[in-house]
Amino acid sequence: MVPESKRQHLVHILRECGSVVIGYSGGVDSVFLARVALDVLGADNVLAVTGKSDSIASWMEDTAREVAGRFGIPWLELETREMDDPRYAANPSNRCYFCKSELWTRLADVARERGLRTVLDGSNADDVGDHRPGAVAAAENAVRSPLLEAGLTKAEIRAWSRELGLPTWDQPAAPCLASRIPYGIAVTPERLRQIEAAELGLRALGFRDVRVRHHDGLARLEVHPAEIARVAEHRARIAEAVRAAGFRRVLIDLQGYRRGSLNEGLAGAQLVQLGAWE
Amino acid sequence: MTAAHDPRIAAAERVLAGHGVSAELSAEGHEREIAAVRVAEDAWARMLGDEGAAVAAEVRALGFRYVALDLAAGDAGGAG
Repeated sequence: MVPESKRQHLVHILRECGSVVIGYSGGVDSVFLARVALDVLGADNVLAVTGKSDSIASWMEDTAREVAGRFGIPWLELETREMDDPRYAANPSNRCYFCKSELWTRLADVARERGLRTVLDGSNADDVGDHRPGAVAAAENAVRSPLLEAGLTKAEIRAWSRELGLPTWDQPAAPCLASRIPYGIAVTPERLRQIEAAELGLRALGFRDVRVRHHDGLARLEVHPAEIARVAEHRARIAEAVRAAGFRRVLIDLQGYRRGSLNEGLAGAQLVQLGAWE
Repeated sequence: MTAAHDPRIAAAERVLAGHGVSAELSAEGHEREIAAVRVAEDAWARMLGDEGAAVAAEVRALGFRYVALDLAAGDAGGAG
């Protein structure tokens, strides 16, 4: 159940923004935001932009395109070049800052060129307190977060998405593919391709919420606890699919998938929040 | 530190033995942060259930960040 006050607050914020460019990944939050913004502001005042790069899974791009087409959301795909930035490729714990700096700078340019006033992201109230160096880049580029400002939680966004008939309402969280590589191991197009190929193979076996963590030749699979019992049943095919993607050894994490697992065990000082390159 | 001199390995094997599971262990990952566990066929179902989660918690307490089961079949003797 979504409180009426939060619904009204979101509408108020969007009206205040006037006309918007939305960072639109094809995930639950950005799809929802784009859909509501379209209702509130009209098609002439909304542009959803998907950054295209090696770190974005092809199925996310497909979802972004399909949903935009189905709901009449004005949509643009824009190639981003975070891989060209050695600070990003080195994969420090504030890697997301460099990626988001590239994305928000490009979207700010698009907004300026098209006369759209405000750039928006899909951060929500549950994101507060996480390790999110990308939020620093958003702030530096004056990006607003209407879902967070309205206090909407992920569960509320899913519930409202379902009311709106959005196919993403129960879609698992889908951060970029680089998030599967431990900090300090370089992000390369080859590694990202291996991760995507392995995850596609696992999705083909019916696993919905799964991460292939890339430990340089070794794949550590995190499967949602609800799906972990199925691993034994599909063990040989899982190993085959993941090895075919280029991994020499395949492990299944006994704790299953949990958000932010690559941050586990790192001291606060190792998690660089700010954008400064150190 | 070499595998032979990593005291966490023997300690983790003792944890598994305490659960009645014979296992081969190795430390993997660029920071040797993964305890890679190989067990025999007959121990698989237990390791993927609640007991596996309990084992993981105990092995993590030894200084590993992750505890993960090798999909390759092991010849470690299985459940004891």
